[in-house]
Amino acid sequence: MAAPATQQIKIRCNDEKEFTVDRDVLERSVLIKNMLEDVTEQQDAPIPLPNVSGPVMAKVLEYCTHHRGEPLPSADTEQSQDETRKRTTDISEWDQKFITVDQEMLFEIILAANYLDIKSLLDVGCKTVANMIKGKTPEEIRKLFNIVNDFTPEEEAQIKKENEWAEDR
Amino acid sequence: MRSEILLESQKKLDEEIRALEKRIISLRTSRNALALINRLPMEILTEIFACVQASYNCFQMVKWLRVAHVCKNWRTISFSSRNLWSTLPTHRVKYAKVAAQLSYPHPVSITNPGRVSESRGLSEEALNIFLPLLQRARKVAASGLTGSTFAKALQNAPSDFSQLQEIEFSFVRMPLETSPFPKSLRCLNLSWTQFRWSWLKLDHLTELHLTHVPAVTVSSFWGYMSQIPRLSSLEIYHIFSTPGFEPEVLTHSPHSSSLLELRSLGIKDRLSYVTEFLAGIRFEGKFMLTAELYLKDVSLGDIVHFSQSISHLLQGSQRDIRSILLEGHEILELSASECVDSSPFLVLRADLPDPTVATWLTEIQKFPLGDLQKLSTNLIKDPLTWWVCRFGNLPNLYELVLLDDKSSRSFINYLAAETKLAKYSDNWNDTRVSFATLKKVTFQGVHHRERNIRNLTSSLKERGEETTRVQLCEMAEKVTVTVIDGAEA
Repeated sequence: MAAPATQQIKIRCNDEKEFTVDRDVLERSVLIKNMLEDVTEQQDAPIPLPNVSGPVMAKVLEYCTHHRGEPLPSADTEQSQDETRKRTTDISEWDQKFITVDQEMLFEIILAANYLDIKSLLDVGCKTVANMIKGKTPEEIRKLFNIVNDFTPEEEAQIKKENEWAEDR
Repeated sequence: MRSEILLESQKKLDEEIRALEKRIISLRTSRNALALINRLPMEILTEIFACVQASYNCFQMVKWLRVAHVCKNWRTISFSSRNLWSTLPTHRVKYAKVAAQLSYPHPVSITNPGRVSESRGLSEEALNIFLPLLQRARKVAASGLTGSTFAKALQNAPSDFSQLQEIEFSFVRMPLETSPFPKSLRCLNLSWTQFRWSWLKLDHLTELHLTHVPAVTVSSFWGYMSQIPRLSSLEIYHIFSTPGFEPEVLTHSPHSSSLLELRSLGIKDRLSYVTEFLAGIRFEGKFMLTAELYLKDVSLGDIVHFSQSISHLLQGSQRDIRSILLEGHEILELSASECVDSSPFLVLRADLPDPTVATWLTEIQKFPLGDLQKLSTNLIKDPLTWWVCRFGNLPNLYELVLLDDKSSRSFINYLAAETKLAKYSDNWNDTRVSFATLKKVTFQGVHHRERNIRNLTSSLKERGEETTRVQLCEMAEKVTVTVIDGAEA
């Protein structure tokens, strides 16, 4: 007996690019999941996603397809993670490969994950940026992210003090 | 008069320079706002900074502060998030002092970077900072004298610590009269720490980790465990006990089915003690157990008794022993593991001195081997390997693990002898060991000669196992020969 066909959902990005995707893949996004739950009748009109472009959505869908079927983090899990601060910077091998993109795409993916409410993808993005920052001096970090020193002399003096009390026992 | 004019002009120029410098800084800030990373909203940058902080260990965690020294925007974000300042390392007193103010009134985690040999404890200044902060603590991790000081403070007024959910104490001596653990506690991690078991009557505890903790009897241990109704994770390594306790099998506690995971059990004591320890377990809920037991002077009768205990332990899932691992060293070692949810698997490993092999052969028949799927051995005596294969009642043997070169050679010799026998015996095909269910032979360890692997391959072929196909795969310390059914291949 053939398995029941998965419901296909259409989405439209801000550059008019459209995707037709299995419902369970799209439901990795809490935003879209809630939207679909609110709609009782089947609609043919695509779901508009004004904050995401086609190329970024393609990457997001690649992630969602790979992780389809995995349990979504519950609100309790998120809360307890925040409370106990049991954060790690470990990223799985597949996720690492997936997120190896240029900075522009990386930040776009993070923004899209935030907008679409895909917690696990947002985590991967944040951890990737954190790993880029870890172990670097402020000057190295500025260089990495195309930032310049905009501190006043008074702030510079304060920073010097902070370095002293942070290192001091 | 002239100098006054000059000074006035200089003043004007200084003002202009200052204005220009201000303007430059303002332009730089505007430029930074256009950096791709600064397009991320504040809450995401905060999360990234939290990840940076988490990526450093306790000793180095203050290095996260470098993000506050990158640009104005990052500095504002760093200093405005209370959460980022909620971890207070006891070895960075000045940092902790500032962090305590910036995180106020957010709950804090007080962490002591676990120095085993810490004999000095905290300074007077540090104590003045950290002791009042315990009332805001959600987590306290401390070792040595610092841990003892914190424990004492907790004991003096446990009701003051209503936010405390997690405690990690290592190398702490707690000569206290009453429990230092407040009712709000959810997770307790004690290692190399003396405590009283009666303190563990904590209704709300969900996680308990015990490493190298002393003095408990079987009955009281499970008694205490069953009085923690919400316990969902229990991790135990090396509980020491004095032998000679009163064995007492606990009746099933209505609470114990809520125990979701029993991850590890390690006991350095006699097998009879262990057997009785296991006899005390009656969990009908989902559980996983792995045990590593290091034993000396154990009789084979004890081992059989142990195996029965294991069967008793697994009664809920009606599973028998799945695997036996036999080794030939001086110290006898047993290990057992069972995971109900994944593939059922249990390993008994016994390191037996050679003279006991004969006795072992007699005793082993008492084991319920009908469901044995995996046999690992490094016993060098031919009879055992032969016996196990020939009479061992292994209709479901799936994997044979040969633990060293001698054991693999022994097995290959056995196969060769059997094949030789076939040349002189007409009814060899009726009596030879069948490998109908054996799918995998693993050469484990580093000393296997390639020749042995080749010989095994050819022996199996020579035996005329027509449906058998041999696959070789090599790893750094392990070579696996997988015998695959022809149809499957």
